[in-house]
Amino acid sequence: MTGHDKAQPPAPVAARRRRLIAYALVAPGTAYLLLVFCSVILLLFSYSFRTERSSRLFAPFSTETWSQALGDDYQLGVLWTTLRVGVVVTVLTVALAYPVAWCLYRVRRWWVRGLLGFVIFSPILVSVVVRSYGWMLLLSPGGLLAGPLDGWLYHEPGVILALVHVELPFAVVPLLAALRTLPPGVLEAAADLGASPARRLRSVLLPLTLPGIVAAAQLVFALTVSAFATPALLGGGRVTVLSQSVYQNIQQLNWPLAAVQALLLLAVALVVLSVFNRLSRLVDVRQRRDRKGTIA
Amino acid sequence: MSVPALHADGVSKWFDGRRVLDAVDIEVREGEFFSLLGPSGCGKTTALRIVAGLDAPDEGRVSINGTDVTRTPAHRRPTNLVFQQGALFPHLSVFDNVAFGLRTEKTAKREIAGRVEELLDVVGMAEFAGRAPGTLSGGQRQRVAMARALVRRPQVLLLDEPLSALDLGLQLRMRRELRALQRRTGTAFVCVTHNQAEAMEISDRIAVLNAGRVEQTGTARELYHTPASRFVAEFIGENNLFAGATADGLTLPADHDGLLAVRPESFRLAAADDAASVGTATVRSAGFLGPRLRVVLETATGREVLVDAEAGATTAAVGERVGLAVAAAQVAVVPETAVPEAAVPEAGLPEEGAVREAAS
Ligand SMILES: Nc1ncnc2c1ncn2[C@@H]1O[C@H](COP(=O)(O)OP(=O)(O)O)[C@@H](O)[C@H]1O
Ligand SMILES: [Mg+2]
Repeated sequence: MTGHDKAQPPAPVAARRRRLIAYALVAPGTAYLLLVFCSVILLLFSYSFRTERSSRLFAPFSTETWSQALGDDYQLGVLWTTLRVGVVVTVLTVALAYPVAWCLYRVRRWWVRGLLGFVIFSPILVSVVVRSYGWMLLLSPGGLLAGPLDGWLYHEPGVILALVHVELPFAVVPLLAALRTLPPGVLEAAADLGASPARRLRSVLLPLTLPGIVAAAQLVFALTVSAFATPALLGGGRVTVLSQSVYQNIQQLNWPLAAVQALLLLAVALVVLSVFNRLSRLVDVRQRRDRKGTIA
Repeated sequence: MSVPALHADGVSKWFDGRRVLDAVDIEVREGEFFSLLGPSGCGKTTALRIVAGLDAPDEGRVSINGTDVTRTPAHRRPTNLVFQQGALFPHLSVFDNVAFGLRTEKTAKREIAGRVEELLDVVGMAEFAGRAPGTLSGGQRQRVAMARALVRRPQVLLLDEPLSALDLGLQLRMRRELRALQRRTGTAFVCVTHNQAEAMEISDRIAVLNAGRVEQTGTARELYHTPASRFVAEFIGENNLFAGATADGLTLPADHDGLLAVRPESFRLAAADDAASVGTATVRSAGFLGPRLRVVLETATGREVLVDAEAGATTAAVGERVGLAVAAAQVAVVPETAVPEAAVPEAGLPEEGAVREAAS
């Protein structure tokens, strides 16, 4: 007994109580989310290791469904389409949303800000199904955009176009929040130190709002890969993503394949989200371990 | 005289229909420590921002070493500004903060390292090069901000209340360091402050700004002994102001019937019946300040007069009637300038200011 373990002073009673209250507040929501999530995941896993025989679950453990989902060209194509549409929509949406968020951040007059905000967030007020039908009308023969965007309907570009529109407001919110945390004066300081507008964007604005960019990208990606109505309507059966495939398999009572694809969808989302998370660590001295080196 | 390092020529600025700067004229000489002194809200920061190119003047011109830069954007001006709150880049290390201004001008890597380390040495922050700004104290951040601005070797360094965030002890030490830094670099410094003691201690010359107008420009001595306006007489040090030579029961030795000013240390306490005295007054309080005794007196008309007397030689009992003496040379005539009390909104330009605001 050398007293090493006494180095830490005991937590004061007040602090302990505060922590208890915090746990109590967090517990219900967390428990709800965890219970639902865990039970669904367990269910999916158990389904995914069975097979389908004449529209019924066939009980014995088997990896047949997994090898079907990962070995079949069509199934891999669906996975690949989902990933591609997700990444393209995410990049386009965040790139479009950034200047929009910047405008909202800079506009001083309250009524211009209100109007701009309404225009940007109004799509949320309309059902996704209605908006997707709207895009179909615009793109279908005789529609307003049928001329310049000929052949986009029922093809990937049309799906991407409509998805970007659907997700745009969700990207603006985290970006705007990030811009509002910009410390006062840093952009002017950069200008004063000789940075051109492009340089200020690259060396100050983007790095300092990176957490917002990552949050926006994660949100948009998660929403896009799980989107159902828009790709179903605008793809017209020719562009199939995982969420549609899951739906089709359930309709055909092929529960095991649907479970495998749902898990694939989850895996894709988790992998991509964690990659985004990594990105934000690279730029900021506050998050770097070494706390030394210089950035070129 | 050579070309001034900085010349602000008739600079005016409106914000929301309010005139914040009113035809400001400032000439800063090469290698000079120049202070812009004025109370909070008088337009000091706005003036610096206009010189730095962060705000555009509505009227007037700015030139640096003879080159008109009025239309030059901030990132192309040979000035650097030390911001009031530091405005360090929180995502960059101290080293990278200081190096930022060199990297924007494509300096060679080796030279960058050398110059950054040299400047960090000068401000005593060399050992903190790898730290994030968020982990530094206010004084340390201020030093980094100075290094970051100076490393670019600006032709004019602008400082916005560089010491106001520091505690008093550090402030007093940093005053001397700031002055030494300016001497060492030979750069013209324009330092904004609301602290008259600070401005007097470190500046070669001072411009006193009041409600967007320059009331007087001169050395600390000139401002102290020959104030050009009532505002300067009251703002710089302490003063007893009198409406005329015979006012408040005193007969001051001056043949001028306008505003007169007598510094507390210029009055001498005498016997009540002393022939040399200019009047009598009753002692209301006497406070011991070490070398001096601060005596507050009241004249027959109820007017308060401040007197600083030598502590050793003076005894002033509260309630005692004493005589006040002052030499004619110590009575300053203060011009009653026609400076308006506050800047008045004017028609015509306000709209333009508002539009500029919205567009920025
Ligand atoms: N961007 C702005 N918009 C509107 N008013 C401003 C702006 N900047 C400064 N002002 C006003 O101009 C006046 C002078 O401000 P400032 O130059 O910051 O004074 P100081 O630095 O001397 O305290 C203040 O009344 C302030 O409210
Ligand atoms: Mg200020």
